[in-house]
Amino acid sequence: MTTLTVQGLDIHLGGRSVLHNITTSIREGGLVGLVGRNGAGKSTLVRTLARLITPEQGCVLLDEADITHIPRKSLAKQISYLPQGHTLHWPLEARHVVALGRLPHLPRFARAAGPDETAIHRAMERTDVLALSDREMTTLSGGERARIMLARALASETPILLADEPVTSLDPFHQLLVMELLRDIAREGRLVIAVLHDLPLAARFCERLILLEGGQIVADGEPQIVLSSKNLDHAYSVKGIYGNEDGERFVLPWRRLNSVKGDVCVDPR
Amino acid sequence: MSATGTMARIGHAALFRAEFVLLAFALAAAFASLTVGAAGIPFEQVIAGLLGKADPVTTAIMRDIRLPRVLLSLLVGAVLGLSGASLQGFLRNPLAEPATLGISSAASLGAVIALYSGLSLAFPWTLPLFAIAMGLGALLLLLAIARYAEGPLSLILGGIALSTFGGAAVSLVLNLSPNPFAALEITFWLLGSVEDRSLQHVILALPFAVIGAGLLLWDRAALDALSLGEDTAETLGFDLRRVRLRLVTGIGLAVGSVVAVSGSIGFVGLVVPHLVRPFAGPHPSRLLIPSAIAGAALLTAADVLVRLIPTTNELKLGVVTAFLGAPFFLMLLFRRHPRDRQ
Repeated sequence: MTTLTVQGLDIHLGGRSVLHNITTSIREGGLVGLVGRNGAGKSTLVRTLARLITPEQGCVLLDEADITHIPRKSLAKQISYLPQGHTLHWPLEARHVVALGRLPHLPRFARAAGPDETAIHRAMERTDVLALSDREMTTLSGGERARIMLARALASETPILLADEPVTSLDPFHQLLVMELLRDIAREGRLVIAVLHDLPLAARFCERLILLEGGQIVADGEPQIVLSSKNLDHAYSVKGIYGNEDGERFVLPWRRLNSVKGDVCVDPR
Repeated sequence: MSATGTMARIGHAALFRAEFVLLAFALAAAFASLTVGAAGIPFEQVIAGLLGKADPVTTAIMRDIRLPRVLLSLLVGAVLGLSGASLQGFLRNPLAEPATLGISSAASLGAVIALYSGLSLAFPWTLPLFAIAMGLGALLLLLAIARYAEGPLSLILGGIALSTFGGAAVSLVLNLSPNPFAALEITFWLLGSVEDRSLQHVILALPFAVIGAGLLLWDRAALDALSLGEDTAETLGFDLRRVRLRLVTGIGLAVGSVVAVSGSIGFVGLVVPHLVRPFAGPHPSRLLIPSAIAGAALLTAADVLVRLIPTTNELKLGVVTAFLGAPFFLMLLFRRHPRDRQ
């Protein structure tokens, strides 16, 4: 049983308060989506969970232990973080990039061995990038790079995966593939948190959504409750339309709203 | 076995082959360096001289003059190659080189002060000792910067500040020198050379170089992790603050000590990692040892050239390596095709 607990988290960046009094507890078993508008604090929260930001106040606990007290190398075997940008400084081949995900498990001067190769292969298979194995990253498209980076995070085979916008640059086929993958590995017993902008995908694949607005948690629970029209108005300033297909409920952002009153914008047509 | 497994093993085999070839080059260069010289010692006598089995003069020349020279060129070349590869990997900048952090500049300033003050004339050991002392001083300054550095830029700026100050101070010394001979002596020392060094020079630099190299090799894996950027590298388990401190200390000790005994020899640290990359692959960690070996080979070969090219004045090693610079940048320019564009 893996639990990430956040208690009274306060984060200030550049003198501004970005997150205020965040308290919540997340367990493994179902995909958790972190949603909210741009600037709500989603990436900041994920980076704090990955121990990249030190909170002003409050703490993050991994199974009762404060993450700032866990040595980095041990923490790396527990938490995998997939950042937004797909930075790569040297012209490495795809499989070499994925292999970097095994670094937390390698002793100081060791080379990758059998179990590492298996983990790398498995990760590349699940993200559908085996065919790109020998290609140089600079020759790949944005979406292909995104999947290789996800494979790198998966290759670590950590109990916790924190993904910041994992599907943003993918084509529809691969968006669905990755969302299914994240949902499946969460169900297999991993703690998976994904920052998502795509409301239909968030609604369909996440078991739980945490909605951030203005640095605070304003809704937390099942997607159909969190993505109510009232919350969509307040947190996103959009009106959504709701639907049902094969028993799966979904929501589509439909129209922008006047942010102050909640009136529907006048249709220019 | 999985396809990825087989591929990785081919990569490692190729790397061993490359290292083996480079080692052969280094040994060949070392042997050439032992045989070349003004004394004109015949082939058979070279080994005999080293083993102490030749006549006293030959033995003295081999053991006290040529051997230290070869050992020093191998050591200095290896340190410069390793430091260049390490810095390029850590700063994620293919134009970084050992002088980037400013340690060379500080160490040169120490040597220049010893020369200018006349101390090195009275006590020859003041020259390398002053150089090491200034190098260590610069190291402490850089460590203070590195503790609070936000990223590679802070370290680079600190290094530029140190280099600029060092350069300005050296210019001041030249400006104020009492006679042309003093200025010439300083200028020639700055050009860099391994001529007329004794085994004591090697012994002086060796411990610092070995400790420094050890510190640089300690963080090999961190260099690979940094390919993905600092955030990902931290989450892969690397404490970047500590890595930075170890890197700065390693460069400071290793580069400071070799500059102290041989002057500032440029371009080797910059060029060697690029020469080695096509054979060792783009992984920063894989470039470290091949760059050390290639640096040793290159500098020793350059030192052979120094003695083969007939000139009236003694040709300085740093001058020969400086001529590596322009063709190198041209080669980089012509080699740029889509795969090199980030």
